[in-house]
Amino acid sequence: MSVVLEIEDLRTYFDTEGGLVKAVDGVSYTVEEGETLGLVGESGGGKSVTALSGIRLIPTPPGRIVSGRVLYKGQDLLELSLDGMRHIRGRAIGMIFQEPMTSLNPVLSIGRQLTEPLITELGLSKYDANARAHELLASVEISDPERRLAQFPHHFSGGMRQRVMIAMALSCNPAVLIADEPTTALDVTVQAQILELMQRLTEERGGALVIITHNLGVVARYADRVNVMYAGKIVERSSATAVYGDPRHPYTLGLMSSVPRLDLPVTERLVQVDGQPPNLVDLPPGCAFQPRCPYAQEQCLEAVPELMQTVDNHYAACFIADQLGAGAKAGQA
Amino acid sequence: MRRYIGRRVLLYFPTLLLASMAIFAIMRVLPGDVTQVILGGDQTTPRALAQAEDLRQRLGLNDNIVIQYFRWVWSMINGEFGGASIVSREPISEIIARRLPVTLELAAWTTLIAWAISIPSGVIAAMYQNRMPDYFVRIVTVAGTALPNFWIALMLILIMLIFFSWTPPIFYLDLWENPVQHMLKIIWAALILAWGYSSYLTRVTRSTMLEVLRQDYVRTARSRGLRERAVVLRHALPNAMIPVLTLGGLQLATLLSGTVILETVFSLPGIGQGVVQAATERDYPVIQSLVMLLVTLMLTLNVVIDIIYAKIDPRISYG
Ligand SMILES: Nc1ncnc2c1ncn2[C@@H]1O[C@H](COP(=O)(O)OP(=O)(O)OP(=O)(O)O)[C@@H](O)[C@H]1O
Ligand SMILES: [Mg+2]
Repeated sequence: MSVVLEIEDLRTYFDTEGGLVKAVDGVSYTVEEGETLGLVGESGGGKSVTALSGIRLIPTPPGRIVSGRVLYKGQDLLELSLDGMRHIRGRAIGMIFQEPMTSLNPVLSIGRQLTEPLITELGLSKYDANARAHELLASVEISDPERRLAQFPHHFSGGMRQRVMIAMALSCNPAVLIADEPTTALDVTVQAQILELMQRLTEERGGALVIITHNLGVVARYADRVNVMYAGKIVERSSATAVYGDPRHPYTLGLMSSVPRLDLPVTERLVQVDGQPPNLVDLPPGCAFQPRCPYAQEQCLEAVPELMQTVDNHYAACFIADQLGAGAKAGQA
Repeated sequence: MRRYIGRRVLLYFPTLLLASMAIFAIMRVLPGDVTQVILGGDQTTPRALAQAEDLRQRLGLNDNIVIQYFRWVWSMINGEFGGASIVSREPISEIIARRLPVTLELAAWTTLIAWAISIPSGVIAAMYQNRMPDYFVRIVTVAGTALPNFWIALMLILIMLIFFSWTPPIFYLDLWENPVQHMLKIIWAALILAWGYSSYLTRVTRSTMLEVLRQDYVRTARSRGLRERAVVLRHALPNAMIPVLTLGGLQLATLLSGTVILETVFSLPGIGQGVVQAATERDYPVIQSLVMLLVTLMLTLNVVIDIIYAKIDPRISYG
């Protein structure tokens, strides 16, 4: 399998009133052709910023990409001119955002929004673009496309809008589709439909899909490989089955015990790992997770653990990753 | 949509009615007697008093106030506009026919110039926030808001006189009589009004654009590889136009009051100058009807703006 997208030692910082926020601090990962990659972590961990940095849509100021490389088929996107970057967006890398209610333009019809880049960027005729828009709506299972295309976003429910967003993101046939918490704002039943839909479309098209989520359950079910993110760093990486079946970072363990239970009300469902997410302006010494970690030791306060291989293709940034195998879980049970 | 417009228009009439009552009432409580103005001189002699009484009778000032009010309102509707000037005897309908086009033309030039300047400069200032173009726009608009119209007008006249030994033409000529002289007469007032008005509009456009450019849907547009020009003009600007149009439309009322001052400074024979002149002559019927006309213009404008607003923003349709 070949690598389509490779992020190397990416650092994106925000200058805020409280101080410097290292939202993404030395993140590296690859996206391989045709795979579904999961990026998991709690709110504020830097998942969105990682994704947005990749297509250079970080609001600047306050944000800036300090260092790193984003290689798309070997080309460093951070070196590209603004116009060159424009050609990457939508066509090489498509993006679906977290907020379906606000991500569509309220004053433009769905048809207009869907066909616009097809006409202005791909040079399709109005007629062809319209035909393609029909196809796209059908592919995201929206019926009555003729009527739907003439409507405005406020005529659509959240789930429907997210379908439209998917259609829009796929309109220029990107090699990589990044879905940033595509279902967080939706009903549980709708969540599953949207995820299934995205996965089906990715498989049909043969592109790569990056799913960003809070929810380890989603990742376990849909992703091939997983990156777990905490406080701007990747703390664990492996195949979905390995991460789920044999987690090697205490944070992942915590996330697992907090896999949302659909039988609980939403507020309780969002309860995650014990303790407060870290304050990115003032990170604790050593490992950022150490204050919340039940296994914290002396050395965790002194040095930041590197992401290292524990077993085959299973990486974790923890000093005791090797001991956290089956034994630790037995101890917990 | 139709229901919204219907409701908006339906509200318009009671508002007009209330305004007319207010104007009518204010004219009645103002000190001074019309007959005194008309007859002049000492009015304490029995003969003068009888004369005044007779005049009052003829002008209908002795009738019940409610009847007087309705008579006036009816005359506004049937086109008599409250009869004639008590000073010059000219029918008010003729005064209006003569003066209204001047004010409308001044307002039209001002609006045209102001919007033509404001939207691009507001958009550019937002796109280059905290850079040179933005600073330039901010300085010019702060000056335009802070400096009073009449002061700018006087300075302008002085500068033209001292440095170019030039003054605007003394007489106002119609556009078709002498277009050059007409424009030389009217353009200064239009430019000064446009500076003030566009300063406000530009700042509203700038801040609204800054707000809109931060919205998620703008990020979506960018994430799809659209040109920055398309993102700004097609995705951001129409959304910014909704508040800009409303606020700009509401501000047109202020613009109308600005015409009153500048028409006087540049001796343009418009409605505003007419009101000022009638006020100095205590020509009550003329004041009353011209003010009512200005108010009607403002209210009508607001309804039109609201309807345009509803047309631009598809979300209003079910509001
Ligand atoms: N525009 C911004 N200005 C200042 N700080 C920002 C901005 N955007 C993000 N950050 C900072 O970057 C950090 C990471 O944010 P990010 O949105 O990537 O988190 P996330 O993992 O996507 O969380 P969520 O699950 O809530 O979407 C946040 O803690 C926030 O403080
Ligand atoms: Mg996010």
